Amino acid sequence: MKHLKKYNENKKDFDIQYFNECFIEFIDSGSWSEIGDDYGDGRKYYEIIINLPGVHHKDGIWSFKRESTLSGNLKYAEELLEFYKEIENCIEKVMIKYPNIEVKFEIEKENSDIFKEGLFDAFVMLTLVQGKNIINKPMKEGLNTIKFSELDNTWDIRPEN
Amino acid sequence: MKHLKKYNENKQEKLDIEYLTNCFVELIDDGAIHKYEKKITASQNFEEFIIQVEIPMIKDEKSYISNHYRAVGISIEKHVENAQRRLWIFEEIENGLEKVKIKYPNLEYTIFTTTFEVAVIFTTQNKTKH
Repeated sequence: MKHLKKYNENKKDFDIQYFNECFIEFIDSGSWSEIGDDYGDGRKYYEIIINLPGVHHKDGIWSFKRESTLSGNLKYAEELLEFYKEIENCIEKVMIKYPNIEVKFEIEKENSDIFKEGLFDAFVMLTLVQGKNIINKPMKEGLNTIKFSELDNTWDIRPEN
Repeated sequence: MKHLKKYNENKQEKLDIEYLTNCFVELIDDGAIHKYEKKITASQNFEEFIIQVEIPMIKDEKSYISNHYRAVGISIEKHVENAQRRLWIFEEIENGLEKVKIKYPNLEYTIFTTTFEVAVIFTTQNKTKH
């Protein structure tokens, strides 16, 4: 074990409160979030859904703000840039505690009447997956082995050099 | 003679295309399409200058699930970059319009915006009737 160096967060520390604090502005604006137990490979994850600026969803109906003037388009472009930068800042805050977190970023398109108007960018679905345990193992000549008991549910073994 | 003078006036271009092109030189150098057309119909005679700019879109990996359409595998940095570019395009259009107004304070223009592009269409105000 002494040659093995584990980086990574403890699974028990993967709490929703810390994540929600990082995304507090979005949570306060009504964004939905949850912690999941299994991302499909045993790792925990945090998921948050954030509507894009000017997008509203109420009683199953999507509405999208459409700008037709130059000043309206300029304002929207500023809002959009601020929106993505704010998400970037939130992820950076998460990474202070969870430096190995994996970020899955998706934009979902929606519309209540896709046949008439088509689809519009509607919301960001951000999934932050618990980082894999990284074990740095010094490589020796010949066959290198690791005991199964040394591994957690997730792992990633890399040569130390 | 009077009729000939009027005919020649109509033939002359009212828009200085080089000037208009220079107003939007940053966008044009960046790939924006610009077009000039002189439109003569039975009832109208006018000029049009069009600037057409593509709005950056996420075009990479996408998947279609049920009625959901998803852009996946794109980094947040790429979205920030696209949003910055979008803002730059509209700022350049605003700057360009201000420059145009110096020489043509009364020139009519219309802005069309879709999800994919923005177009500014200048048209000469005096749509002369024959």
